Amino acid sequence: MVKNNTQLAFVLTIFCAALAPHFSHAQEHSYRTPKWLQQSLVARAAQSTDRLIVKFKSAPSASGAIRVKALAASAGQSLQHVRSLGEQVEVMALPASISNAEARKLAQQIQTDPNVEYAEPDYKMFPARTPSDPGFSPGIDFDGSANNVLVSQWYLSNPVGGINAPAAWDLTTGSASTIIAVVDTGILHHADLSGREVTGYDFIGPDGNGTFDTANDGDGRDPDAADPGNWITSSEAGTGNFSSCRRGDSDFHGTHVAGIIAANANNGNVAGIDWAAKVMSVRVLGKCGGYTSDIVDGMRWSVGMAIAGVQANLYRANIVNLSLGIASDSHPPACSNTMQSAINDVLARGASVIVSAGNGREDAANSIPANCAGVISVGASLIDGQFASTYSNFGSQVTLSAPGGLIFDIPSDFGQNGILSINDLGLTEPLNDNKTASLYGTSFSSAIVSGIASLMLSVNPNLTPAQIKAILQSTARLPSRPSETGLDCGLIANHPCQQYVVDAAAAVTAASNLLLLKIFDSNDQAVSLLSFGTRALNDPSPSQTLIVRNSSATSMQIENVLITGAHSDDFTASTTCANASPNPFPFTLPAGADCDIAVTFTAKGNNVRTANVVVVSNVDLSVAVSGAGPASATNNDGGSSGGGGGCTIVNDQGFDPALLLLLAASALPLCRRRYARS
Amino acid sequence: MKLCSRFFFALMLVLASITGCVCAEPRTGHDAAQIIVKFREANTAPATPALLKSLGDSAKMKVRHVRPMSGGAQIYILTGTVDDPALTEAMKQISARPDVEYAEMDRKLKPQKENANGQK
Repeated sequence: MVKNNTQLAFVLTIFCAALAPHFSHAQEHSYRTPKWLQQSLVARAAQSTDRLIVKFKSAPSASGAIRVKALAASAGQSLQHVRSLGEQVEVMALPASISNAEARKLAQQIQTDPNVEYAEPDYKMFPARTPSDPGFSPGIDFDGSANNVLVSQWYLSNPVGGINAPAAWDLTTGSASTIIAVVDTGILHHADLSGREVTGYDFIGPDGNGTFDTANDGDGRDPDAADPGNWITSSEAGTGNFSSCRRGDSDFHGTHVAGIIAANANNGNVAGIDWAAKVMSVRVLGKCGGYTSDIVDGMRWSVGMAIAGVQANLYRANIVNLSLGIASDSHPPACSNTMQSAINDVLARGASVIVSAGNGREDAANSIPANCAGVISVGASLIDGQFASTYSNFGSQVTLSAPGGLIFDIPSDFGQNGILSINDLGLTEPLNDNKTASLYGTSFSSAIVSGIASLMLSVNPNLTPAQIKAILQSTARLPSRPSETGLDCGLIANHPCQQYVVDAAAAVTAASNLLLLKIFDSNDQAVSLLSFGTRALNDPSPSQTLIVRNSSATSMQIENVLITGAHSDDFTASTTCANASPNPFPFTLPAGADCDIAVTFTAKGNNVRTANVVVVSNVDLSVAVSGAGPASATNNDGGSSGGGGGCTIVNDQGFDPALLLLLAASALPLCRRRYARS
Repeated sequence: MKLCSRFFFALMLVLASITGCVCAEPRTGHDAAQIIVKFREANTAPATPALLKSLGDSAKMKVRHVRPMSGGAQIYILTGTVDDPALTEAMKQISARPDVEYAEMDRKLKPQKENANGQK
């Protein structure tokens, strides 16, 4: 009973937290509510209601309908009785659907009636989307064994240690346009990945002595990226190409990772995090791991880069998952040049690189690729939300944590708290039996975050790797048990741990909201360039207004408003929306609110002067600003005419030379096209 | 009982992490090692006899070119006495060459799956 109450309280807390932004609208600052918002809120079903719930103070002396009629008359509102919820509680209909904010105002007004104990909107709520797969359901003995161990995908929905996947699925279940490269041991053609694979490649070549011990498929690089197994026998362990490995069964690691990311949902097995995205099998790990040289070739190929001797990749991954690692051998520890170079190439192609923090139970600064620049490095957490301090790497190089699970090799625990995904029961070669298994480690933490990143891309395909990383970090949550926050990371005392656990719903919401933070000009038009014309030197212009608009349903943090670029000293940007000085940032822009930025220009040099106004949030919004100082015959102040001829623009009638430059730039492609035709 | 099991498990993990030292694992056992070399000049011919001999002189080992790899680097195999001290010195000498941007071992990375006893 206590447990049930606790769980109920937790769910209510989450619910209230989700609603909190709606209730905290414009508490400290005054914001305009633009006309477009009133229209758009009415149009959003989830943001509106057409009912109120009212509790009267005394037991009814008349029917509910009569009481509501009297209330409507005293409040001057049109209210229709719907039904009674209890003796003193009545549900009433409004004449039309109104925004939740308007409904709250109306409820507040009605609550002033002396007969009313409380009044509140009858908020519309929707069931969280959950898959029918038995593996998803807590409490089902899914492994089919007779040990009565309750194996499930707790990591998706456990209210304490899970990733809040059902709430994310209410927003999106993914897009078939997203491709995740699983750079791993290969992927079996498991039934739960049917229709979800794009062409992959096997990058494991011969060993240096000409054998295919590591590849274990009898040949070198080829288009067959399936997993032949990676078992190590007792006689192989510690010898030759397997000198650093112990005996072990095949783990079908790549298939497991792929299933976490993208197993088909609602098909009687387990559910992946993304139900539509495609996975690309890039096989680089064989028996006893895989070589850096093969891994980086596979990484580059996965994002469409040409690799000598390998057929061109027709697909281009948006996410590259690396559930692999090794301790650095350099002093001080550092990412290898080879790995960093490949990561840079992948990032430059717009794909995120999501990696395991490593299982060394040490600072991730010692672990490649977790210590490489630009990656999203994922540590492991447990079913109780705590950091997996018995194995996960930690430290400032860890971006955030995600469930990695833990399995004790005792019958009462086996598999229970591991990460359940698709696998194969073969101990050596695969049986292709479409089975599942529970494994644990930061490999699967990385996979979970890759799945969430693919959901984020499905709602906002233009997210950059840096934006995805920033959102994942800013939306992660602290574990519920406060005893292990701070610097003490479980068994590993006095080491900083990244204990923030990923939250799929919050991350997807934030990714979606980024589309709804935009900048407009004073005419309410989307703007990318603000022009000030020509001014005398050191003569401040009148200010022009940029409007930052949060069209989303939740508040957004504005970290700063900056002027950047060549002539940043010539422009100023100030906002009255931010908090009082001395440091107005960051400030919160409520849902649906506008914030005005006043921009001025003071020419501090001759000719064209340019900069950018940058609004720093989870995503940076930028508007180019341009003006001009007096024309200079010597053109010695840079940036105006393209150099060479000392070309100046004589302008004494307020004509903006920046516009002329833009015109010339826009005409250039036409000229080139004509030239090409001729 | 459960606490004991967990303590024992944690102990096993610690022992495993101590004994499972990461060595500069050569690709072909103890008589050869595969390395990655990136030259400063992108158009360096990677397999001329002169360059192989020069690299071998630096490494004090025999050097064989394997293949180019992505990112403009080259893969070579060092053969000879390929123990850890010799490899460390060889990499130090090759890295110090003025024509080399970087040189490093072609190390094996492992799946980050925990597995205390090797059983699935």
